[in-house]
Amino acid sequence: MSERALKRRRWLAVRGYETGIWAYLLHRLSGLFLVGYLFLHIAVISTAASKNGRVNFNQTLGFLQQPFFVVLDVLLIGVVLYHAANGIRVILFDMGFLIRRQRTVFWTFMAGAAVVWGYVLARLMPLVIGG
Amino acid sequence: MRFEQAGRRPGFWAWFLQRLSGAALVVLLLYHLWVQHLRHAGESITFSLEVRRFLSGLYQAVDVLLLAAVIFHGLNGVRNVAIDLGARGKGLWLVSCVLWAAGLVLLVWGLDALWPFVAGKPFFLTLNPPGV
Repeated sequence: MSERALKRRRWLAVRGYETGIWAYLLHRLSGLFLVGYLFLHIAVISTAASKNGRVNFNQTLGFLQQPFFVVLDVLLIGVVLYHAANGIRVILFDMGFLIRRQRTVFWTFMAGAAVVWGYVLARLMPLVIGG
Repeated sequence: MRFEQAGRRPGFWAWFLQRLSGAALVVLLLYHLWVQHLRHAGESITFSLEVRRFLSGLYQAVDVLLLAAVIFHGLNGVRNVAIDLGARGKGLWLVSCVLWAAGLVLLVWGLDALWPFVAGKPFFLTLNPPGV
């Protein structure tokens, strides 16, 4: 291995391991992002639904169903699918399954998440493009 | 037996419940997204549509369980990040207290949004009850 490759590997070796470090970092970042969205989601829906009643709910939800927000929905679901697929992988490894095939399992799960996301795109993008 | 022994180790339940809630969320959250955004994609989401959706006992149960599971999973996840960043002892205790408080606020706030649809009458914060 070249000096540069060794250096890169050391830089990637956070907390003493390097395999799946990007999967780990992305899992943490997507998780924190989703917690932020959770606060926003509960605040918006609860305020619209229960504080101001039916008129305000329909106004708020009508505003949030414009094409721009549908694109954000699709991206949000993408983040959820990454976090879910990688999370299932983590649970499998914790239970001792397939530990010797980590990289293959990771990319298989990513492919699965991509297929589901493709379905979501096919369902929701017509609302943006055809709307 | 091994499980009982593991249960006495500090951090075991936070670790185990994070996996359990995560596995539950895969089902609960995907069902929530499917009902709200995919099953009838393009259907305009209105108050009366939500009242109709919540007539389903399955959907009621899923959303209430989802609320509890997602709050635990999200905030326990933040606690895990704090531990990875080096929080220990008193600092970690403080982080946990803040997260518990945030979790309770989110639970009440979320129940306040769900309650009118599930119970057919307003929760204590609600000003306007739903009608079909």
